[in-house]
Amino acid sequence: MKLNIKSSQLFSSIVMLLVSACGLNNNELQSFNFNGTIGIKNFREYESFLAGTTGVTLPQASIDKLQPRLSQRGRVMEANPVSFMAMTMMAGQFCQTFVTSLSQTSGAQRRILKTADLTSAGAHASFRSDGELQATTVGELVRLLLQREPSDEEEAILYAAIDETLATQGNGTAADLRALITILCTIVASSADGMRV
Amino acid sequence: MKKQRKKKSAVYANGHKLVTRRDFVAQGLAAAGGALAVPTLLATLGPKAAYANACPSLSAHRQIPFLVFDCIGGIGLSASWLALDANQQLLADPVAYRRMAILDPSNTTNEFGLPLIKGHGDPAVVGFSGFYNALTNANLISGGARANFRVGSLAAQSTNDTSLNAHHPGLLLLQSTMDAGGGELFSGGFADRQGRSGGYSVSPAVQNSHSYFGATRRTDFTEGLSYGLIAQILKPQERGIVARFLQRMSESQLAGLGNLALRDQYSHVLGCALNQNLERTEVNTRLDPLNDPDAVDVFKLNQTDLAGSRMSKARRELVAAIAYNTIMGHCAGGTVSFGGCDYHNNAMPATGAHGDNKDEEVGATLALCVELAHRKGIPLYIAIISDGSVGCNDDAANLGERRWTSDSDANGMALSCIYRPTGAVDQLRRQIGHYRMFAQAAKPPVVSADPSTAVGNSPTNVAHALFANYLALNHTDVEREFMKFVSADTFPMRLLNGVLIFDPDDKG
Repeated sequence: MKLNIKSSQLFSSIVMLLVSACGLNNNELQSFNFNGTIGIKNFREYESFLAGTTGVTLPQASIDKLQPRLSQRGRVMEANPVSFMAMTMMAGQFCQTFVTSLSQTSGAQRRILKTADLTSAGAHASFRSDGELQATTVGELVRLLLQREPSDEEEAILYAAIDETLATQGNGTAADLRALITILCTIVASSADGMRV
Repeated sequence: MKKQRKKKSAVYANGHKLVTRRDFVAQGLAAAGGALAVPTLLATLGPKAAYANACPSLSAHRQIPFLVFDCIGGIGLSASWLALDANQQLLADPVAYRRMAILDPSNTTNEFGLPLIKGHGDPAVVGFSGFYNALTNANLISGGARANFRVGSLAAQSTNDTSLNAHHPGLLLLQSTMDAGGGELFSGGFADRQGRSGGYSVSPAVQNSHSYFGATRRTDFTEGLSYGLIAQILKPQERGIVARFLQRMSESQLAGLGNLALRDQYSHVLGCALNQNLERTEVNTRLDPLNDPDAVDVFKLNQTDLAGSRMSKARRELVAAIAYNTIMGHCAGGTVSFGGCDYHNNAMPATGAHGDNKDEEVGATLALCVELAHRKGIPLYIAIISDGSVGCNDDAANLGERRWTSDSDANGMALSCIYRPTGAVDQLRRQIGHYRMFAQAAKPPVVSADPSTAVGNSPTNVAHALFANYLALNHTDVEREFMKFVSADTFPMRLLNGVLIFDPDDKG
């Protein structure tokens, strides 16, 4: 009989067996560490992740304001609405700075969206009608921020976000297009896979 | 025109898909270290941990709101609230109280259950009773609130005059309250310090993943559960799109986890975070005490000064944010810490740094929190802890004159307080444990909390006893509730009934 066990489930089972055998409780488990990674990114890791992937920085005052709300030790027990919101806020600020930076940089020097028009009067309309550019945007954002290919479901979700944003914006401007890409970037960067290590 | 959104994988120049980290690095796409690390503990946590951060949707209080006051450094609680003997009576030799800088133990009030010193003579020379002044100050607390407010004490030595003193009940109280469905807007407690217990001292370990959100300003709370600068970057509808699709994206990513409980919990807490501010505004106005007329009036948040409070406006705003959200059930509980309580060296009563002033600040905070609960018609439990106490030595010039000469762990005390709008709670006893005197030839007797009692020399038992008293106010079967969180190895259950100050059968 072929066993159909996902690697994460198998890994989980092995860990739980080890934990049981060692008599550890959940608090101890939360500091239990196989390979240097624990649950979610702490404040330093999350800032480093966003700065490293986007290549932009935020003013120190902005970082200092959010830092106390983020996970300090990267333990799952520190995840709460405040830390989630702080991560979303930090991601949003990085993404806005990143998209602004893209719009001010020539195509070849950009990390992603090397050919996209982000500034002209017709930029929004072009994006609206260009399914391939939308797919490129989604794929490049996920690869940049999560460093893997998007799943089919993730693509569908991000396409739906694009459609809803475009519907909200109507005949938008280039600034609206940049806001749309900021939205996509924020969703990806502060998603579960963006905040966990 | 129909959009063609074909999946386009990133490829090398030589044509194969990017798969490994090396591929991504080569393409300049890999960046922050750790971002590729395999998800580990998120996939391994057990269901109990997963349960803990749930964000209840019910706003009704399931248990009485609680606050913990952590007086850092050894405040002289027993220099204001009288130590009692094994028969719940005043110590036989009144001179013994001079060790706690109390000149006349008969000058007390029993209004709050436990005897409280009213004064010491000329305040400029001898000092005053900060707790009494605050709890009888009509600017701070009304007669109606006072009438239904009761205090009991724990005679407990402090065995460790550091932050490692594990007498903070914060995590136990938080766990119990959260499990009962507390915390409408925030899954955890509010505090004015970072730290797991929410205060300075350690809280005995509890199997949970609850925590306190520590802040130093009122606005840290109102901004902390908000959309912050995103509100400036994006339009309201666009913020809504971020919230909805971020949740869907995360749920999709978590679908691969084998641990269903954790997946549900993660998604639930995220949803709670994103949806607790439905207007998606820059600040969460529901958490702001400035938007509540009672909180503004009680804490006088529209005034620069509040006579008798010894608190700045910023401090009152911070305390009000913790107390208001705790009392209203927005968060699951609160901790307020007080620095400067190690005041035994500030010996002169006339100086601003003298301990009586700090007592008055703590007392005023107590009075204001009780008054706010009274205005709202909601009960409130408050535990007050400190790392030891203060004492006077044998020098006749110092004894009893509020000229403390040393720390005194032996005189330690903790307080267990309850306000109930429907009437004062019946007390089984005024004090847990007791103090004893050691006679000395030609000198006043030395006083000490008896270390042989359940709480006498065990800070952990102090935390557990405070927790038991909180449970007694919420439940009739205290033992059953207690055993949900504390094992018999940690606290002998045979001691449980003996540490109850408040009558579990009196539910008003």
